[in-house]
Amino acid sequence: MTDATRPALLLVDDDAAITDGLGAFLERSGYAVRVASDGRQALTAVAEQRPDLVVCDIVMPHVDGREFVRRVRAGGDWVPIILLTQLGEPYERSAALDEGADDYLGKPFDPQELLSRIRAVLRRSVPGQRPLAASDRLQAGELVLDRTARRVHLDGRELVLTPKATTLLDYLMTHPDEVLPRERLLAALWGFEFATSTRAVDHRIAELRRVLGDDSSDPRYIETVQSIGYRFRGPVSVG
Amino acid sequence: MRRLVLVWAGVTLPAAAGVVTALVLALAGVRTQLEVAVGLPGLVAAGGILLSLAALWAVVITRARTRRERELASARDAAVTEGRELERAAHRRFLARLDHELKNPVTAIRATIAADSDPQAGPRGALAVIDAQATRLATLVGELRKLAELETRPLDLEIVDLEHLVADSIEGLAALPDARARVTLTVTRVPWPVPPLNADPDLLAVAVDNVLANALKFGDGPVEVRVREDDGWAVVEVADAGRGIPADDTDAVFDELARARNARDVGGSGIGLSLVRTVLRRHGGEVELRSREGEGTVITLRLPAT
Repeated sequence: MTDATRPALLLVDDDAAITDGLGAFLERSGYAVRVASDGRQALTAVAEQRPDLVVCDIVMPHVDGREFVRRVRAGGDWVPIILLTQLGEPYERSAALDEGADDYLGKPFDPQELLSRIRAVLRRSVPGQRPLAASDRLQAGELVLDRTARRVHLDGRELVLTPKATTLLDYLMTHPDEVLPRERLLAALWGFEFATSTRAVDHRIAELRRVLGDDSSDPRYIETVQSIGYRFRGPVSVG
Repeated sequence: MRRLVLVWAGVTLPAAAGVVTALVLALAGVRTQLEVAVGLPGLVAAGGILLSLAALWAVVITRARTRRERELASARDAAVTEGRELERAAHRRFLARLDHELKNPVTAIRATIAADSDPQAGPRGALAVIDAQATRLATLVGELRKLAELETRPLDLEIVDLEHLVADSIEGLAALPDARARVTLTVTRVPWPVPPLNADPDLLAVAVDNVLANALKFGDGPVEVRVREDDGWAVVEVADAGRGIPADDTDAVFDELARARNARDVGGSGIGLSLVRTVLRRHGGEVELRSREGEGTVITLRLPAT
């Protein structure tokens, strides 16, 4: 592949051991990779040549990952950004703090997992449009999620959900058409990977299906992916 | 300090005034004699009253002293509790830092291995071992951190039916038919059913799952799970006929990373029981352990009703 056909990635991390290894891995996986060692350098790099996607660490000197996202978005740029978190924060808190990242991946991660996140984000991002993860309202068919007020409406009728189920629906709707393993949902939403089972996830999915009136054998919204997890049926649009 | 001065003034002034007046009278040559006659009933009454006043005085002094001691003791207790909380908070911060500092090197190790491996098949041979062990290291520290965070993170409380939760946990074993066949559940409902709880069902399920998994993995005999009400508390007992815990290890097994001497051949991180205890304490409950080496173990989870 030539550089012209390879998606251009900007990899931002202050740890050279990470950018060296990860950069080489992403190059081998078919991406053209540029590296920046902090948020300030990354802002310059984006201004010089806009990448197709940015993979960015959070804790960095000068301009950190959160500030980088804020400044890029403040300039009206919706370039897809995946943040590498290491604070062990649950999704809800990260999403509230970052105002506009497309996805999050906790360190340390399986590099293959980063690859599948990059592909998913590139697939669902619409050039020039605000990502689902940075939108106040999401819509899938008759289902509307007001993310700021944490309210859910179906066919114009308000649904009553537990806070956890609302957060789960939020995660599903911001990751449409992606296979979401139970373990990933558990780690992202509950913040405990030490659970000996992932029943907690199944319970909340059951609650969502019950309230949404979704039939698990013929689902309109939440599909079961045999022995792996779940998938939210898109398309999801910015409401 | 000011109070003490006032008390001393109150005590010494009358005596000083008396002595000074007497001296003045003596120097002035006053030789007047006073003879006071007091009736026996009056004397007895006055003596009684004086004795009562002395006793009253003694009581007041003792009570004041007891109160001071009690105040001191409770201040001491508060300081100890506060000290312990500060220590736990420092421990949590340390684990967060350690976890944070470990994540970058492990990310770098995994990325470097991936860059040197086949993109489709992933790492093989020695690289696969390094990859897995680096991940294991980070997972362990990550779990310790999560465990410490559990002490302060907010609970998602809702009304929980404990009987349902425990039955669910046992049904979760369906994928392991041999294990499932060893477990029996008994629920006591008469005359007092198990009260509903105000609890975080997901965390409580993690605790029950852990206790159940322990009972199953340290033996191959029957496991009895008993759910009952006890004086307003909801109680879950998980009893096994497994290998038991050596007597001098029973306190330590609740500590982070601690494992009993006779548990080293069975896989585990040593986090399970400390996790169970943390979850129970967060719910105002407690976990108790009775065990005899070579006979078995009973773990009792006690939770206050709503």
